[in-house]
Amino acid sequence: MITVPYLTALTTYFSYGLLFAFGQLRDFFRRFIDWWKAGNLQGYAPICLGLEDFYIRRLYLRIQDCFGRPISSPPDAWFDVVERISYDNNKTLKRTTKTSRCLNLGSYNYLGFAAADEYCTPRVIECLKKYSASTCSTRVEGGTTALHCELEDVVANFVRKPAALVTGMGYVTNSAILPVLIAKGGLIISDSLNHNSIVNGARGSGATIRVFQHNTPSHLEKVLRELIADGQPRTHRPWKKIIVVVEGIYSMEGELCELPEIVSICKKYKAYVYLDEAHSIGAIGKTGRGVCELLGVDTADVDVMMGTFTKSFGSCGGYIAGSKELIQYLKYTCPAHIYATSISPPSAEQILSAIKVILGEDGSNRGAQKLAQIRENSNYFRSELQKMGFEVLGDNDSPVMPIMLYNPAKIPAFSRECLKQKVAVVTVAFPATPLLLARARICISAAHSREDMVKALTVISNVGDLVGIKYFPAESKMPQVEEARAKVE
Amino acid sequence: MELSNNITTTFMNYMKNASDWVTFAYDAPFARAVLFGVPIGGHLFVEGLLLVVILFLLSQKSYKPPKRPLTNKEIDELCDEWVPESLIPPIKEEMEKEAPVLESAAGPHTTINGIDVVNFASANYLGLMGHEKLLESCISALEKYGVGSCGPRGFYGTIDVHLDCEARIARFLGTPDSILYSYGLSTMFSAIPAFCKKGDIVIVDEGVHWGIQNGLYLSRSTIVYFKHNNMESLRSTLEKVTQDNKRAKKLRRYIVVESVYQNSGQIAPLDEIIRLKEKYRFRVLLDESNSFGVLGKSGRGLTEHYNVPIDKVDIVTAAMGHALASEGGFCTGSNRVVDHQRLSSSGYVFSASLPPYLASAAITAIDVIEENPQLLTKLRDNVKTLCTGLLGIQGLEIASDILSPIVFLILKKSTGSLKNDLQLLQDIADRVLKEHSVFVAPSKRSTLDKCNLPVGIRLFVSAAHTESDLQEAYESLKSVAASILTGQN
Repeated sequence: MITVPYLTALTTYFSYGLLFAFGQLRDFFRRFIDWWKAGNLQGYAPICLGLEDFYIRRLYLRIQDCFGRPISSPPDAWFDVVERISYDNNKTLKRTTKTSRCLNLGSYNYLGFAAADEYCTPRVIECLKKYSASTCSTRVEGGTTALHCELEDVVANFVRKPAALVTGMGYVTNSAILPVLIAKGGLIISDSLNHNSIVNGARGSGATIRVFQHNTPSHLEKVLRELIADGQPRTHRPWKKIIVVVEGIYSMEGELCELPEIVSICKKYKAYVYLDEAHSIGAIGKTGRGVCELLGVDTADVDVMMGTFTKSFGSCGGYIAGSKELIQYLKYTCPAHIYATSISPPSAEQILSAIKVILGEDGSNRGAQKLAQIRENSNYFRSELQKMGFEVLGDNDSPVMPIMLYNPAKIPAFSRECLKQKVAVVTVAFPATPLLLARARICISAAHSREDMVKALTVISNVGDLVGIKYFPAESKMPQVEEARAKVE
Repeated sequence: MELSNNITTTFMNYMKNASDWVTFAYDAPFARAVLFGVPIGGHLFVEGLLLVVILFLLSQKSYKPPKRPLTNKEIDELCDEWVPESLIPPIKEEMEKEAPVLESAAGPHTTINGIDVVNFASANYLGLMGHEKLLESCISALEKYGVGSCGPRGFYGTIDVHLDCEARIARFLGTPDSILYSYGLSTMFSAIPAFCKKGDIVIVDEGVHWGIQNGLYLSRSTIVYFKHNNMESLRSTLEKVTQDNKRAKKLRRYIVVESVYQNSGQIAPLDEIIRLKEKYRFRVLLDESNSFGVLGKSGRGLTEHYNVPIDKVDIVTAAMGHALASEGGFCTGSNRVVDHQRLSSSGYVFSASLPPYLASAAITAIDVIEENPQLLTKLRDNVKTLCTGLLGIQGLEIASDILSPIVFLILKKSTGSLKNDLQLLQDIADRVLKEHSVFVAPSKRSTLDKCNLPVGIRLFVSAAHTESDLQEAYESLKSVAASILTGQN
């Protein structure tokens, strides 16, 4: 629940209104100027009509330098950000050869496997020499190597499910698995803040989609009861099956899913549970096994578990874990398995080595150290930020912490000031978040040391004072509900 | 007699009285009032009464059966009664088939079950897999950057290698700019919804692969299919569509074709398509996955092969998992096309970027192709040798073009059902592998695939195959086909 102070909400609406008005004014004059010079598009409709890219042209391009910053070193705790300059007021940005060494608070590097690792990288290079960079073939033809089979066994073991299937990209995993599991006549109930890949997969399946309020099991129950009693739209026939899709950690909120309640509701109403652990696998839980371990949910109760290897394992790709029959069926029908190139062998080796390190099978206790480090780091950072008076979202133990900014002008101000002081942060605005709720998102990693975090806190505190985002009084543990606050969900 | 007389008299008296009353009512004093100079008759009293009755009836609500929402108890009963289908259909025996497991790199020769086999199942067209230059650049990239890039392109996932790769591809093809995707399959199904929106018209070949079909389904445009690689059918479809939508100036119209079709090995006649496109004012989307690095004098693809300037094709996409022996995909075109995708293509914005070592492998691969054009001629000779060797094979015929690097063999006489065809082809492939150690790939169809082209056996020819490899291939295929497909000719 985010509560926006009235004054902030008012000023945010006013700022957006002003930007919109100016944008329309510029568009008006642009239409005049373009009328003089005819384009060479006779007979063809333009690729983007009028208002479709208004947001991009008039709002996003002004602050384009805050996004897409290139780096020239691995995304470790400290990295080199390439400086860019623009000669035409941010419309195009050109790379320069200058770089600046900044503290990385934006990459998804939860366990610190991002750069060359002492255990993983030699093994990856060995594997590259043996299997080469790619298999150039799909899994069902010539793309299944012994490495892929081993990887699937190890992943299934790690996640505590009978079998697993690995694909080369996390996004495609969701988009290609949901249409296979459910078709027209089925029902998908998804959390209102689910990721774009889930939305795409759900749309591609042809099933009816309904949304329940973010992380509210009581609303889920209400929606389920209504929909089961009603049946399919218009024909009122009973549904063929119902799948409820939730995520482990929501990347824009930093919250954990309320899995035990949701699983019990789904069991009661005989719906299937699909859990997307993109951010939570490897990062939370005592041995890094994700949200099921942390919240004490038996993995046999979750029907389909999906995750990606990009965040905590420093590699690429996605997996699906479930019962043996499910995986066999998916191997037979899933397009990501039949038509897409298999995962690159060095990436697969990186995942294997990373899992071995996490489980301690490499003979050292680096894995346990990393897991303890990230938990300590996240809790320390979050509590310090809250003490300073920032509005920080998310639950304890989650390594993702969004800091609320609200006003559109504060987004580039925060980002650029932090970069000047050598701290690289990620700011997110519309359309990834609702219009009023722009935020800066911090991802803590196990590679951050105590000094790094202290430096980050000082810089963020300075910039926060400059920009004016300390919405709560400093040194208070619980935000007090004062009068005249508007509740925004 | 007297009684009846009495009754009639009394009756007549009553009638007379009643009529007297009515006449009295009619001739009542107020009835003879003169109102505004208009004499009012007594009948107005009756009419006034009728009006009151009508108004009263109209003001009554029409009868609706009372709405009775379901009580909680009823909803509970319905929920208990409802039985969902199982998540997956029961496993049949053909689903249990496992792909053969390779134990070494998927080059022209590979090891399966300890035996060295000739590998025709990897799309390693120029034999660049395992090339030392590629391995060198991959190793240096791995040591410098690690494996994964740990973030999407907008949030510090852009590494300078990505920008170099995009510039290199654009320079190689002669276009202003290009954009990299992290997975081959997601290239097309993210690029299409970025350009084709609801209401647009897209004309598609019926033999395109699943990635394109899914992209079109997600884009919600109007889709019209034309017969596979049939220019006459394309022309008549274009004519019909233009006639039907004469007034739609704001409609965007696209033609989507592949250069070398994965499902049949045919090559699209690009010069015809460009001529038709310019006549009817459509935009062309070309998927060059299997022709990039293969067709054309220097490997620049279908446009070089037909001597068409590349800026006539609006959007070119390709997967790098074929000739370039890397992974991922790219899309290229004019500046407007590429910039638009950087913000509205979901597979680019919401997904982690390509691992840097694969991007550097792609750059090195393009360098190698530019320096060694003899690889292309070798590949063409190999394909010719294989095709001549396969002439006269019993029961199968070559359906692909002579220039296509995929040699596609279909059954001369299909058994009638897709399942049996697939089973037959699988048997042939298994026997060829077991008895003659040649690894070929029978085509597989997912249940979600809408393509209806005949299935067949695919041989991916590589420039690294030697004469003896090719000879083994066609001789073994001939002998196995002769034994399994006797009587089918």
